[in-house]
Amino acid sequence: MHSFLSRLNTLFAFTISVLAALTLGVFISTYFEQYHGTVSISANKPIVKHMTDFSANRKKNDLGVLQLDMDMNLNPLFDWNVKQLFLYLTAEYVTPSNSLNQVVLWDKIIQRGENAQLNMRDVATKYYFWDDGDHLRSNNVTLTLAWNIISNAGRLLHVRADGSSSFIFPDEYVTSRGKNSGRE
Amino acid sequence: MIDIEWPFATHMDFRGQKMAERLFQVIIVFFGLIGFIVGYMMQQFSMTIYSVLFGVLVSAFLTIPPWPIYRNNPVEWQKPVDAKKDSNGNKNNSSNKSTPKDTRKAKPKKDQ
Repeated sequence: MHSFLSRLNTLFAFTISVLAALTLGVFISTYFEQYHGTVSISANKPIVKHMTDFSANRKKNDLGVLQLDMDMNLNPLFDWNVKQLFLYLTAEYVTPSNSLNQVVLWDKIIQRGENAQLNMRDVATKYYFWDDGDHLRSNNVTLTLAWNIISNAGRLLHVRADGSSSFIFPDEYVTSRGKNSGRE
Repeated sequence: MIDIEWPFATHMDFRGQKMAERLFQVIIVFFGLIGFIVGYMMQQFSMTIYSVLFGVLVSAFLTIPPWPIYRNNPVEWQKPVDAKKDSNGNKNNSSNKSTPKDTRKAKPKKDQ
């Protein structure tokens, strides 16, 4: 501790050690937290189209189109160890060719400080709802919301929300030939 | 080890060094605990960090510059022994006052 620089160095190193100990304390204080929440989701106007999926094989697959209504209040989830939440909405269903299909339709990142109470109506899905085949008609699909908790110090947690909803796609395809059929 | 020759005196005595080190440890741990409790109450970890940084600022101000309180117990050097009249050997520059540069070269009492 003799020279100026050595005092500065000791002070700095001690500060880093104290900060590390405090961060460990934060981690321990939220170790057992479960981060559950309830949401209410519903799907509006589900329809099925049969189109060529240009991003996959060039076959014609089923495309589901729907609007989403979502209500949730996630403000209680933000304790001092939560940096941001990553939400994603999954559609799960069964087809003859796959025993479980899961398609992510929508996701959102909510950072600490932003409004975490979402009341959304008639939101279009963010990602396309392609099926691997043509089995969406009359299929019973369950929508579930899940989130990842991204902490300041700790594990990456994955929590499924309480509250899921189901809907059934209609029996027939919707063809979008209305615009082009009238050309003369 | 970088050893810069500052234009001003930066030394502290041994008692002063001990005092300074103990002081900044206590200050930073104190502000760390206060910050932890405040952060927990407000559920904002940033409060904890700000509190520790404030503690660092306070203790840096109190312990890094060589205040006179850290120089109250200067090392008591022995009186210089008169060297032989025409000696070519090491003539120690040690005088009664300990200057910053000389504390390195003077013979410490603890050796051997």
